[in-house]
Amino acid sequence: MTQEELIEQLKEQIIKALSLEDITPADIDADAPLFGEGLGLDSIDAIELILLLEKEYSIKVEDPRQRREILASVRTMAKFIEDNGKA
Amino acid sequence: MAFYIISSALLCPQKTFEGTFPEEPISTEGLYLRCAEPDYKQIIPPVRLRRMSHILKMGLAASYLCINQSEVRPDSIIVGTGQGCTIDLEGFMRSCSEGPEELLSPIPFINSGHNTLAGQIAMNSQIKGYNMTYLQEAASLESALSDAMLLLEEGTSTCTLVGAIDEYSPLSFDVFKPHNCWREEPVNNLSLLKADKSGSIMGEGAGFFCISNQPDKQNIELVAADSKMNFKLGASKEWVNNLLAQHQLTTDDIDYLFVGRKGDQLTDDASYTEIENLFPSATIAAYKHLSGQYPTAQAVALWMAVKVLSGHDLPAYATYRAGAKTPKTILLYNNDLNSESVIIVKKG
Repeated sequence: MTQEELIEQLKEQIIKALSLEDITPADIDADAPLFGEGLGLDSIDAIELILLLEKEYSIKVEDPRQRREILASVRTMAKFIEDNGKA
Repeated sequence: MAFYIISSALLCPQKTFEGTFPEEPISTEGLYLRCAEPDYKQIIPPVRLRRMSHILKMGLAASYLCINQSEVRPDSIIVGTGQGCTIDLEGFMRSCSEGPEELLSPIPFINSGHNTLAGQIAMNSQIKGYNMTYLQEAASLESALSDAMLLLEEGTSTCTLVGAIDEYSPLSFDVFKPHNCWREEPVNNLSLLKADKSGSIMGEGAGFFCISNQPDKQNIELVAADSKMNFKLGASKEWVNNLLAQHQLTTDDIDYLFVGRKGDQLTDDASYTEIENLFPSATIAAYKHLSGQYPTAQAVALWMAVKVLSGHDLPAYATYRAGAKTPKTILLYNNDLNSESVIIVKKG
């Protein structure tokens, strides 16, 4: 799977996990911040995204300090998945 | 001390969220009725809406409509729910049993507590005073109303938002099925009160009322809200008579009687005939063919009673026995799951 394909898959999974009913994958900019700006997600969504990584890609984020960096955007999430050899 | 209902809002299977009796009731064939819902996006911020289950949306919307109509902003919130947030609780329990516990999603957990309803309403409305939830099956609404009256009497509150919420869920339906609660075959809701078969249809709804220690121009007084467990055939008359006497009322004072007949051949007559005969000249209204049966369905009757006392005519589709009296004092009587409850309201 290419990174672009992984990004598209992640967008679908994020929409489902966070119940973003009015959002389509095309509405999500892969490089836009997920929190604060962009989708405007919050700390509960962060927990859901960490669970998504564990459930869908079997990747456990051991260091809580890594989370901010990994969840910065859809692209950083995709890169993290690739770096852990799960793509 | 007198207590007044100064605003009301109801979401139920009929289109009541517009604030008046619908001209035509919704008629549908089935074993349950689902809520007729407004456009929630116009009422609840989208960021919060996406995390909300059906029952939370119903509760938030009904409370919002009620608060907006009230001349006085409530300072306290009391919610009664017979079954709580069943769908989220089911989802949470299912994920507990099916998957590793360390991977549980937080949202169904947050939404599965019964008191999340009153809490979410507080967050949405920023009403940060007394916040209480009563989970007492068919007596939940009456307990919430009683608590509001005590709160107003002791001076802790000047206006309390009281709500009653329950939702349909397939699991709740199945849990009560072995107790002959539901019809075996689908039935048209408008034919339900013929009571030619055992069981009823399940329903859902959210009713909210602002109760104040000061009247508004409608001047509708909440006289009493009471409930009694362990129903005994033949003992209802004495209990209701005593309640009327406590409030300096007689049976002649009751102009309209709202009964919780639910179309159950096995229980309707045993549950309601004694009370109906106590008020031979009163108009009798019924509502569970419109709302379905659920623990806090008497909120539908209370909303209807408030509308009638505000000058709206009781629709023909809700009239069970016609009478000639002008509605000034209304008694609501419900008998469900071995529990009786009464609410009395009157035009002040």
